[in-house]
Amino acid sequence: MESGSRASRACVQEAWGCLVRAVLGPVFITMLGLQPACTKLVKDIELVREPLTFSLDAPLHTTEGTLPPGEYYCQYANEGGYFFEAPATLNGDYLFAGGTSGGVYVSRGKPRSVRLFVQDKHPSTAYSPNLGMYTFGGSGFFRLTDELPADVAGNIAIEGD
Amino acid sequence: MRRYALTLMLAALGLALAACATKPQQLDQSFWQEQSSKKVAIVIAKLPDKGALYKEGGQGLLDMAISSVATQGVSRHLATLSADTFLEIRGELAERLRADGFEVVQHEPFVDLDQLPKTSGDGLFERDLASVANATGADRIILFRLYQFGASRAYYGFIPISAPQGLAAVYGAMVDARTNKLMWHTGDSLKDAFIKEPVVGEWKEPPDYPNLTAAATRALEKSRRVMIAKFFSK
Repeated sequence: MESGSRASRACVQEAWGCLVRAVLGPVFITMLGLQPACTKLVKDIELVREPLTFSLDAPLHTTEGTLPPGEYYCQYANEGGYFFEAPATLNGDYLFAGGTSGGVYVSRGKPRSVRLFVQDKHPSTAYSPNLGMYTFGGSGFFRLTDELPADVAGNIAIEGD
Repeated sequence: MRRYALTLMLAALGLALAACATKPQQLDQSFWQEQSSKKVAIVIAKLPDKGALYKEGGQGLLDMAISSVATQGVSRHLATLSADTFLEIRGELAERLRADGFEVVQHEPFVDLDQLPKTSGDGLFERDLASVANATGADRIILFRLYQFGASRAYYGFIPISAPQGLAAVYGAMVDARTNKLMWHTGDSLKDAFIKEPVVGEWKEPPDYPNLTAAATRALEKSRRVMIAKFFSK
């Protein structure tokens, strides 16, 4: 009798686990995937009329890795500023850093402020004991992160701005 | 316990795959002293026949089948796109190399790498480019390969978790025509090879998907720009 009730309890637990994984899991993960997009990703972007460029002369260290020197190219802007993409992915300064696409975000108007941005380029896969494997990210949009030294953008002349 | 074992196995697999990835090779700066003595050929590997929608994230067979049905319209449209604008990289790079004093040959026919003999050995390009060397008389062969283009979209199972983005996956290498030895290459790390461009505006506008098409075109343009920037980076 007791073993029957234990078996039915185990069955209910198993069914609950299945429900979480099969139904709530995808919903939760979809929300998780969208959550950074809602809070941090800059999705409201527009194309600039003419691509803009500026040159970074020396590597610039950031928390996401090192921005490489070279020509930074801007095709996208939002109402706050311009996204200048680095010529290559960020170099890693420590384990698991680097390999990220991103660049320098330069605010409109003067004095200019500059921030690092990274691209939400690849979906990430993670594992949770309750949900199993799940995937999030990979929208291609930009996420603004650290403030950078203002002199990075000191000499950027943006026509019509 | 089984779950922890799975986590550990996945971590080990990830590390093993990371260790297998070929790292990019910087161009030796002595190349820039060779302009008076060496002839450079620029060649393009056979382009993908058509654009496609590449799905990323964990998918089972059933998920793939369901998501394929759900994305038929956009896949059909992407299949009509051509990657021909990628060919402009030949002229763009040739112009810059000529400005630096190099003699440059733009090899017109595509190189079908699958038809060339395989090579083995440390530091060698994966295929024997002797036929290209003979046809061009070049000392150095710069090869670009666009192996994917169109759009990519992230999935959890059959559920899309993001809008699609423009995609171009590209690889560049320079080979010593005499020895087939790699002198420069961009590596096969996914992070470096995959150029992705966000869609500006609404992507889901059938039948022509103009904003998604524009993102795919920008990805192709950017792949050319990135390859050239990497070649000239010091």
